[in-house]
Amino acid sequence: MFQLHYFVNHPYLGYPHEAAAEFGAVMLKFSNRYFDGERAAELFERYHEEYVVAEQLGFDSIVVNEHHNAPAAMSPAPNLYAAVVAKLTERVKIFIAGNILPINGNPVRLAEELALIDLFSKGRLISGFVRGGAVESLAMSVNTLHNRDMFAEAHDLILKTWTQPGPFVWEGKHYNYRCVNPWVLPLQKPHPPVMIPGSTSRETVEFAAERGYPYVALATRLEATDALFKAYDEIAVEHGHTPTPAHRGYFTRVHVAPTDEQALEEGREQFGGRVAQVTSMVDMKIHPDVGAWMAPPGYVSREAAIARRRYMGGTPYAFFTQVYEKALETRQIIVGSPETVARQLNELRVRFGVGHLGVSHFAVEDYGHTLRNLELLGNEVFPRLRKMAAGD
Amino acid sequence: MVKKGSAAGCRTTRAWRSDDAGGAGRLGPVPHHARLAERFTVLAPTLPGIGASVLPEWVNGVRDIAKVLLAALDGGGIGNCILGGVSMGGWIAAEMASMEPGRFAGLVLTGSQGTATGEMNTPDLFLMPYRRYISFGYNDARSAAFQDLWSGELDDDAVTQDLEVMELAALLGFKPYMHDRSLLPALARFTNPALLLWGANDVITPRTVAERFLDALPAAELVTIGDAGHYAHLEKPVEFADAVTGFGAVLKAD
Repeated sequence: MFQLHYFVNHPYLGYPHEAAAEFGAVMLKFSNRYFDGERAAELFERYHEEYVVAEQLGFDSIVVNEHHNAPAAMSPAPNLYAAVVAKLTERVKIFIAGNILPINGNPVRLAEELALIDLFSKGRLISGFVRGGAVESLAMSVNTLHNRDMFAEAHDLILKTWTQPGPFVWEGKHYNYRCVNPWVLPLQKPHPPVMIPGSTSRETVEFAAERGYPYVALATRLEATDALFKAYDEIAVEHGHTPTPAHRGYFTRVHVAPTDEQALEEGREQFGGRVAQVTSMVDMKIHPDVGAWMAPPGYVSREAAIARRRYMGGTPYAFFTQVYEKALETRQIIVGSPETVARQLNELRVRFGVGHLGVSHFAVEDYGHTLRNLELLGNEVFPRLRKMAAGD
Repeated sequence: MVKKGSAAGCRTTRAWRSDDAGGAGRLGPVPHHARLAERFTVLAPTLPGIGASVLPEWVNGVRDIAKVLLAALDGGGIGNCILGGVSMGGWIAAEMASMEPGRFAGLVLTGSQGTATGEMNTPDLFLMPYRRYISFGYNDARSAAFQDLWSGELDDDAVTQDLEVMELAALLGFKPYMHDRSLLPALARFTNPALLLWGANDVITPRTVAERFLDALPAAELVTIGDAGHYAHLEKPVEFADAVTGFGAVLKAD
């Protein structure tokens, strides 16, 4: 049976659209003068309620993540969200997708925080580890050249901290500890499940496959996703693992309404307006530096940087400049009635052979829409989807 | 690196890698090299990490690169010469001069990094495309001096070279951004003559940066080159080379 995950991005809604359009990028250097604490506090009430509703509607996990300097995702501290989810819910897994290891700075402290979440939730933590988008490293001024190295070393240190009795010494390339011996350890043994979310970086796929960790593709292009899961399987087998659907996940954006017509109309309105803003809209014609923010030195290998340049024609985030129809056609967004959404999600599930499907909303001002989406997903889409899956 | 020419046959430009195995530099010979070579032996090292020049695994900062270069000078028996550097190369040269002040008869710094501007508006190499950053280093990016070297479609080799430079720059100067708080105090040890040869319109390391080096170095003078930006050596190669030559002429370098 596959798992259904509900991804809450915690977008900030309400900064001036004109200022964003003029700046050309809603990230990194888009000024926080447009942040209003009163507004953000209201929104957090909403998002916290969503955790509870999603659990009631049958989702298997609540997914939180980490971003910085980004109105699209007010998520600078995913472990704080996870602690909130832990105390507001009773059943759902808490999937942190994930902590950005290279910018965290202190893997032992992170291992402790994750242990606390696992304890607070009585063993419901799924610990995702990510390298983070390049802008996150720029926002936190962590050298992108060391991103891959730091990711791997921090991971190794966290796993050792969780699984080997202390005290021990750690003298690595990036981290050094004279006495690793945290008192607080996770409830789940040998350690909380680890999943690796990514967006097609070959190196991240390799990292997950070599260790037999599930890989979760985050709204990646369909053809690229086919290729990365193929690569995953090959590498996993080479390393003695047996890949199953439980090792594969795919997360996408969904908008559902009672009818196709209504969903498509609402989707158009939101995709063209708010959604473009809250998905870190970039327009390199306006802001000449944005491309460099996505690909600072060393963030990917030279080979990958050259390939990406060739493939994207210098536009790393083509998704955000797609027109609505194109995004629908390429299944970068799923929009429709419960019947349509269930069918299209099932097509993705079957195509990728995934055991984990994740959905997030188009972020909308109208909270009523969000709740209606959630209810339709829980009450109308999932039963259909589960029935289809049962017929495999 | 400029050695005052004395022996016949030395008046050539040759690229010099830190492992001293020959080969072309990042940009190959550029006009100011040729002009300097009329008077001096010019050694223009290709920094470790660029092209075929090997970057030792333990290098993690400018001081480490300085150690590699000083060791290479040892290997070549090179001393009593004029040491120079531009931008990040200036920072490396300044480190070398502070570490072995007796080795160099003179020091020439141009648009030298190594001190913090602390200004949000100073172009940040890691927040913009590489060649856009370079364009800020010219007084006039529409000029042939810029266009000939930096414009046009990039093939994979050119992209690789840009990546090599960016990666080395990130290794040395990502954080803290292009500076080391110990650099200026350490330069007090360098008591030989120093020339701060600065583009008058440098916006990457503006004149205030040059003035900090002026204060830090016991025997320095500041000379500006008009209508030149950060990369004054590329934008005004004749004026640049002539100023270095004039500076070198009065030194008792080998």
